Amino acid sequence: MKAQIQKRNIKNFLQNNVILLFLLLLCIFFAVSSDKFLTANNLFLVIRQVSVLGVASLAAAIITLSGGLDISIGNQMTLYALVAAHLMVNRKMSMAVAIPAALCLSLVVGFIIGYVINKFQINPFVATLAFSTVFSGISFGITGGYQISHFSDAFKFISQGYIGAVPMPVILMLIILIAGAFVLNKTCLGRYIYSVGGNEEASRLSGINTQKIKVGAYVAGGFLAGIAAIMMAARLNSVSTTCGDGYTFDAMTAIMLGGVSVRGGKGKVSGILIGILIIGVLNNGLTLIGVESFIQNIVKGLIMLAAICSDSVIYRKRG
Amino acid sequence: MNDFISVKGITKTYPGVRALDDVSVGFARGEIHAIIGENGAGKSTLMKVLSGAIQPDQGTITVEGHEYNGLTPRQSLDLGIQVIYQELNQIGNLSVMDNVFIGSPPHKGILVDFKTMEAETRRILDQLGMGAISPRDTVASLTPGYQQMVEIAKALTKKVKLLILDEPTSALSTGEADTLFEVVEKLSRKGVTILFISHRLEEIFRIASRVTVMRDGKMITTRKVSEIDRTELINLMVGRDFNEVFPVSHACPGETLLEVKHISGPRFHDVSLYVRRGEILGLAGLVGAGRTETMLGIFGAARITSGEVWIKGKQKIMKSPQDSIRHGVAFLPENRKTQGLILSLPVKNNIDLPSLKRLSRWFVIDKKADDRLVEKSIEELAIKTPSKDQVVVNLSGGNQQKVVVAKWMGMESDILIFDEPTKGIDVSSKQEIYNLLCQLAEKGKAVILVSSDMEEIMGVSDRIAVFYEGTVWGELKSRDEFDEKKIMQYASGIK
Repeated sequence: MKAQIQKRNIKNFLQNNVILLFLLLLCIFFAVSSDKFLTANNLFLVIRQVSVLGVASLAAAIITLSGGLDISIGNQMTLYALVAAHLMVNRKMSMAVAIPAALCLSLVVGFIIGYVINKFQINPFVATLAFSTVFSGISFGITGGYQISHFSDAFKFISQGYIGAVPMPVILMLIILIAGAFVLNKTCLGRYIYSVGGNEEASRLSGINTQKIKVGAYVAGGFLAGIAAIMMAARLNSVSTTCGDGYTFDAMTAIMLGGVSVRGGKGKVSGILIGILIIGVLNNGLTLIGVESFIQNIVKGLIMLAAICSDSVIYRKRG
Repeated sequence: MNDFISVKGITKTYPGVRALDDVSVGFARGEIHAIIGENGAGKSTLMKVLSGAIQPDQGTITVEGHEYNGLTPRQSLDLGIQVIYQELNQIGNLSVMDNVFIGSPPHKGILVDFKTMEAETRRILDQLGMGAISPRDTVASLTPGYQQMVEIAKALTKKVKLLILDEPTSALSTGEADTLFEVVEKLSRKGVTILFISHRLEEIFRIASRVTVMRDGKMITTRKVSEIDRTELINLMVGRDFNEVFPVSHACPGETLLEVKHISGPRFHDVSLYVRRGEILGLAGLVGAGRTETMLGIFGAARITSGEVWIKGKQKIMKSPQDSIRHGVAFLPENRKTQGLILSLPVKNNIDLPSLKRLSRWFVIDKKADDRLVEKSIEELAIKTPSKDQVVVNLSGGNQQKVVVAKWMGMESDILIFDEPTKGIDVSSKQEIYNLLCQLAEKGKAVILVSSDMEEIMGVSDRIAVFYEGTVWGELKSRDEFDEKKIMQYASGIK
């Protein structure tokens, strides 16, 4: 018994850290392949780049942990970024109005998605596929397809400023991830998210209002996507109708690499952090060593597949 | 002998249970033969031996003069043995003919021959007297009775010499059951042997020619139906020795904590019962008699459409489990894996789940109080786990069940409903659960125990209500009145 547990602990340790090992190997590989990779400038670039993804991944993770799924996160981000940009640049509003307005919209959108999915008991994949097309249409309508640029310096500070030597977006991301970890682990709400995602019926019979939790996860996810969208807009100097593309894929890959189960109920914020670093290093490193973007897509797609397969294997082993 | 099939000395053991013990019985060609017994008497296991789903440890099966030590599913089918299970395996979205010919559709080359398929299905349906339905109807659009017929039609597309029906009428209305019996009789006249497993005595007297009684995995007797009456049949089904020692609670019942008056809902109707402080109320009945559904209704997890629920003398409306938990009701569901536990989470996160709200201030969980609660529960219930952080899926059945119990101990509920708490757990864990039930009663809780285990329910309860067809059919008001035969009579619908 004891030996078994020990063996399991070692196995668990390896399982938990396989992904960290993978990150290290990636770093070593890129460090050897490109002399620019290990420079301070480049590493700062990587963590600044992953800041937006970090927040978007937390959004995806909370929804996935609760047993849901949202593949409209990228399109939501485009929408929120465009709304904020439109209000600031075209309507000349202050960012103190524009940012809260975009975040309010994100809460409403998150609620609508969650409500529709749970009220009608529909498959979240298909539902959010439909929603993402709606959002992309609205985004186009707002701008007429044009880019919006010329943000104020104060707005750009959100993602381009530094506090001391630390980039502002990194600080934001860390605060949000720590807050996310706190909510998920230390509060009722967080624990309910895990339990509903793990077994909805058992949670219901334990006196949890499962519908509320499931809709709430989409609201939280929408809000975090809103924050990610603001950070993204501030980083890009200009936003277009396609600026959020790719975030759904990167966020889903990051959380799955980080050990979040697509079946819900399992995953940690620390894992997500490693997941986004892998995506960041991969995006940066592959570009540095001159891999063409179509090959980058193939690599990233395969990595996502590998993550899904390993999740399934672990699930079936535990029966 | 004119037996189509006979078994001799069949024994099958599972860890801790002798499911079949030296069973010998023969079924004549063209007869309708009923098999009866209580829950767990071995009826289903015997059926599985015949269908080849399981292999016996000992004994032989003789089919038309050939002797086998056990059948494979393939062999069984080739010999013309067809089983219609209680739970239908149908694809609701497909048409009747697709279901009837599932797996082996008629074909021309690589193309399915829909014309033949439809004509053949039509022919079989007519033969079964089901002119009203079309081969092209989807199965989901049919009533349960017709769905059952589709299953029989499916069996008729293949060679069938022995048709086994497992509780075929449990989901049927009276009219539907009548049609089924006509079909069954028609088939038997054509020489098909029918094995009819049922809980319902009146059905047996209506259609069977012989009846075999099983009890505790043993074959008790086979008799002609014309030479036996109901009372005798029930006496044969029960009447076994008690071999477990049950703890007895010495609490005196106090005031009524929970009372329901004439409540109805999905699969239960007009149920009235009460349970007092310090009392264990046993709910007996056959599987599917509506006990679990009633309890889900009381717990707010299923809708009560009419009637009243009174808790501690006040009428309450239970719209959701949250409501009933707030009013001090705890419910330990029947299926610990799908309803009781979150398997992917650690022991700790399962135990404290219902208590989290109480344990937190401003939505933040008080970690110390949480740990104290969890550690206390693990110790009190002697849950064997390497640590509170162990994922519950890795625990044994008995210990998993204790985790479910632990969830509710922390809530200090006054009314506890245990739905089949000892199902599938080892003997020593069972004893611990019995002791716990008594301790709870002695502490002044009101306990409801739903159990299909006759010994258990008679051993532990202070009072027993017996369910039949979704309602309370009879009550045994004190331990002196407990009588296994009486309970079986009530459970079979005899007053």
